[in-house]
Amino acid sequence: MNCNVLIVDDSPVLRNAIAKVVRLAGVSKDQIFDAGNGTEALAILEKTPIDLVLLDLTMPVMDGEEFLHEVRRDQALVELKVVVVSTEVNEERLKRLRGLGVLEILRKPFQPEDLCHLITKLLGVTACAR
Amino acid sequence: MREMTTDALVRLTCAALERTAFLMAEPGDTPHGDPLPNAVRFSRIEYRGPERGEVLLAGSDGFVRKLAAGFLGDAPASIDSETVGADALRELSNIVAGSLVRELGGDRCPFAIGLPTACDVASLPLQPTALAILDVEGERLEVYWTRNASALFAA
Repeated sequence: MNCNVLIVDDSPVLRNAIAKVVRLAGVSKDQIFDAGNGTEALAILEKTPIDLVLLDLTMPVMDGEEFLHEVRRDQALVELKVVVVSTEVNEERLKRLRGLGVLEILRKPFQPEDLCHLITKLLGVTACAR
Repeated sequence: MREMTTDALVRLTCAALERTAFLMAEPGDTPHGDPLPNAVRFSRIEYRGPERGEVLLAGSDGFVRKLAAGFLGDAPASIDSETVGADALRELSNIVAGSLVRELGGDRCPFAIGLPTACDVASLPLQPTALAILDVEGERLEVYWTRNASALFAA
């Protein structure tokens, strides 16, 4: 799978755990990027073409919702695929996120297979060929 | 708001451990079992909404190693308990708090959850609303839930 995936989560342990699942879905190690908050993620997006963002919401510095607002202001990133992976339960907030083009919301705790299937669904074999 | 019982706290914590770290847990420190090791790592997280409250997790050194190892698919012996283990405990507190407020508020839950932070033994609540002590494959995990009336925080 020739796709670049960006994992945004303030927990290094979770980033590593999610990266393992992303690799299981067929993405190679050098195509997985990670960031501890929205600001770091924006810096990566400036330099690297990303096909899918796996985004936590509650983070220090810049949270996931602020990050999404920044992303959607950038014409080059309007179509960026984003999946929220979070404990978030506030329905109003989730509604706002869907309005910002979030494709799926995966609630923690999730089973690795759920995330693996989601990645495969969103990044089919040819989805990211460049 | 729905009511929460210690049994429910045990259930949702066990589900979180099983789903995210492949760890099996059961109510701990029973009279017939061996005493569990002491808790030495602590993490707390607050939530707010129609009411406010706090979840505090306390785990033994062996528990946080197993937890992080379960998240990462590594061996517990390879885990640095102070850094990686503590981070894993903070993440678990986040997940447990998320499950708890969903239990309290249902699927249209209007709660917001804060950032988990490390704390110490002095932070343990004297009178938690519910306390679950779990035996996680021979290691100790304590889950304290304290429900605070919103009036207490009105200012």
